[in-house]
Amino acid sequence: MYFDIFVSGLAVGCIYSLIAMSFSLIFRSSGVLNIGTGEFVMIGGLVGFSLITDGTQNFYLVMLCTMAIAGLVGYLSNVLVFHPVQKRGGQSIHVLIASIGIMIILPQIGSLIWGAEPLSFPSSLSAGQVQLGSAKISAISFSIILLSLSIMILFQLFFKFTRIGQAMRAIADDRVMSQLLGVNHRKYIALIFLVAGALTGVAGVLLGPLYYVSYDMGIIGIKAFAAAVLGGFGNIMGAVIGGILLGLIEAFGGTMISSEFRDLILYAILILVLLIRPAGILGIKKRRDTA
Amino acid sequence: MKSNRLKSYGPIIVYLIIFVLAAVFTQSNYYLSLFSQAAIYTILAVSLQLIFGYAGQVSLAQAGFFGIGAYTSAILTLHLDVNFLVAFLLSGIVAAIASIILSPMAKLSEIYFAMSTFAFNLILIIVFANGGSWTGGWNGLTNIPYPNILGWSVDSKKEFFILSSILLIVQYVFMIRLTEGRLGRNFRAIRDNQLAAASVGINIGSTKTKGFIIGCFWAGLAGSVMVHMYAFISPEPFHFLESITVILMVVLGGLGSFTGALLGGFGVTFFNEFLKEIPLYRPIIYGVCIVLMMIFLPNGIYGFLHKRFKSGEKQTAVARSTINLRQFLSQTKADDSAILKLEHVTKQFGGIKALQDVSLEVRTGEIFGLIGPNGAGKTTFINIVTGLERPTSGQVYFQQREVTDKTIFHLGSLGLVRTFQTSRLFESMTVLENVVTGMSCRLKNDIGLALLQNKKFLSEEQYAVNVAYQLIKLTGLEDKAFELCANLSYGHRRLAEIARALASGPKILFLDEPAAGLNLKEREQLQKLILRLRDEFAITIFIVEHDLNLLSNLCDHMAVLNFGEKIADGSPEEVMQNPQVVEAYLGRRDRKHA
Repeated sequence: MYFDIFVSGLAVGCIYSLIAMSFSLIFRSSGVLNIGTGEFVMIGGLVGFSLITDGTQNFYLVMLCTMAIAGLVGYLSNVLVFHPVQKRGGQSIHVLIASIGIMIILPQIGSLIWGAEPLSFPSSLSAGQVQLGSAKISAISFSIILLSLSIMILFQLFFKFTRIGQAMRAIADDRVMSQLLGVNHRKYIALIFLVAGALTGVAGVLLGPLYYVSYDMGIIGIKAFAAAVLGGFGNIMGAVIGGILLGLIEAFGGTMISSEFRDLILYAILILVLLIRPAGILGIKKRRDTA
Repeated sequence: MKSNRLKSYGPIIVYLIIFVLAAVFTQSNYYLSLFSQAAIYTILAVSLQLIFGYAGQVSLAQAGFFGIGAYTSAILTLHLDVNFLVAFLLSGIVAAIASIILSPMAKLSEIYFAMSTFAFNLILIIVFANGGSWTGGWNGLTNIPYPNILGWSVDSKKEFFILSSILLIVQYVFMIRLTEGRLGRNFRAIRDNQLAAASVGINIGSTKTKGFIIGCFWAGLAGSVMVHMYAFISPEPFHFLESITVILMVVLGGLGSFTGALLGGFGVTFFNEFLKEIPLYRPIIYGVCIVLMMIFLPNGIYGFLHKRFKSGEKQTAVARSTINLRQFLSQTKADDSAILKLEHVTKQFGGIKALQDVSLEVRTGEIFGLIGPNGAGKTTFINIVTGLERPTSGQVYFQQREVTDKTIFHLGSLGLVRTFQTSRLFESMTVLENVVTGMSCRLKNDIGLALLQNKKFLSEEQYAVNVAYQLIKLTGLEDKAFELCANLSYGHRRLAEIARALASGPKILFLDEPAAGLNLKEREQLQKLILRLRDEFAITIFIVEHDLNLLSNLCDHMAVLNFGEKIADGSPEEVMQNPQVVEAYLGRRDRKHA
């Protein structure tokens, strides 16, 4: 019983981690807080749904295609919104407001294309169980954990060992310094938006078989933000830890109190963390607070 | 003064006229109800303008606080049979109290504030929807009684229109008055440049919190009127998407202007009604509007007009006043005691020691110069002394009191004031307004006096303007006093910043590379000003520079930093002859080639 809850909590937590990573990546490198990040999850989920119901049998192929499309949406969000706002002298407050624009545009586009009804992934995906030692766990949770952990590891390797990844890390570490050292700032920020979009898109596909997908599922973004803050906003490792922790809290908390109040716990955690320890678990030292 | 009055209250007077006309001639319930709705949403927009456009915080929970007020009023009148007036006031107070939970966020950067208010709004919806028989769940509550205000039973559309309009007018006047004094300037200063505001002693956290709580109070009151108008309440109108609609009103109308909020509130409500036929496209249109506004007119239509037309406006009333600056600025030229003392201050950034075991003493009334080549730790030094950074170890004493852990605004209000290497001015204000803002911690008027606008308030404000003008004259900027800071030249910006720093009545003034980028004439002017500050007003001056010539002419006392260590300390002559200093500045003479 508890093991089941643990596994499903872990699965959801891994998805939160993916989205939280995207929040932190973008924030660290370009100083943008994209409130609309959750909407990329929605795009990913709905695109994934269309691909699967259109008969694409291979789930991995669906994931890749979704990543590509969500990555493109992320890239466009930078080209069409964030870059122009910042280029014309908009400060972080203006960028924040602009991202609110994204948050209300995308779901509506989603509902125009896919309708307002929640859509379920084919049940063949979500059924089935895996024997793990003496315990049986749901196959979908198991594969979500495996897939998202491997995606996270792949991205870590990408950041550590490829030239592009290193440049991105350099920008995230110190924007001005990396620029002085000749990193083409604009190009890599655009790439980061693409990568972050892909991360959130795949989170949407993975989330699909667990619950359902619909135009208004982007609200998950705020939970993922809570995860990012819990781990330490701007810290990639913190995002992973915060996501998993939050998934577990949600799963175990959900068994103790009625499900209506389950979301309330997560929102309250966000507020409490910001009140008590805004730097999160693995807080980075550089904060933009004055006073 | 009179034209200013008209400018502030003009929009609401226009509204008053339209309101009277509408109240007399309109019989259509549809329009009356639409107008009341617009008035209520405009109250929300105006209250958000205070939080957002003035105090610079993006609150995504304005609809949530609206809901707190609405539910409070509904529950009190329906379940507990409380009189409407009491319930009305309580709904504002409950919303204000609820906002106190989030007020510590004001100290964090605006993104955290935005996200926590977002989460708070989501929490509120869950609470409203699961409140059992108290809130009626998703179905809501019906049969909420019509208000009875001292015998006036408000039960028709027209009467609700009158009630909501009166509330709007009262609120508008409230906001205009509130933001006319010290508090209003502090709001705008924080929005324009938080760090600069803190440096002249403005308490960022508490100022923002005041704005937030007052804004939420009005949102609560608006909620109360709305719920009685519809006699029905359910969680939907308080969804965070409604909060975004309110943000849209403020953003479209223009940040930092109540006129803008008024236009935005009515405009968006009517436009909303107009788009009722195509509800699906509405969010897309709004979203595109928001994005376009942020790209092309980030400060709103008002900000755009303000920048175009504000400059060049002359006011001559202040020029005639005579005020004794000496009384305002002078410090007691006491003994030779140390005004500032550092003991073994070390600052480490990771593996790099930016400052190593630096001890210093600055005596009252002297000009102290700190020099050093680039990267010597001068900026770190000034940041530590003025409270922007904490030293890794060591202590800082200001007038024999330990101030190591004090924050910048606290030090600013104690009389330890700084300017910045790249000048930080409040760009949307004139030079005069900048300097008046600098006087914040010397003035007393706050919420209460600003609302009353009694004699005490007016004379204090007039005094502030007079002093500020004299300070501007002292720095030689009187021609530019009514110029917007965004239009000033580089040299003038530096002088304006010094004038603003002086306005807070500094005991010790830190100038961070004041001469950088000035031409020869401006340098001379600056030199004269600094000497005057010491000789006439006995203000201690601490200058950080790497220009040796300027400092050796000015200073009574100098110290040299190199690679984070103090290598010399003494009179300018002593310091200039110190071999280590010569080495640091000119390099070591290699013996072989000598």
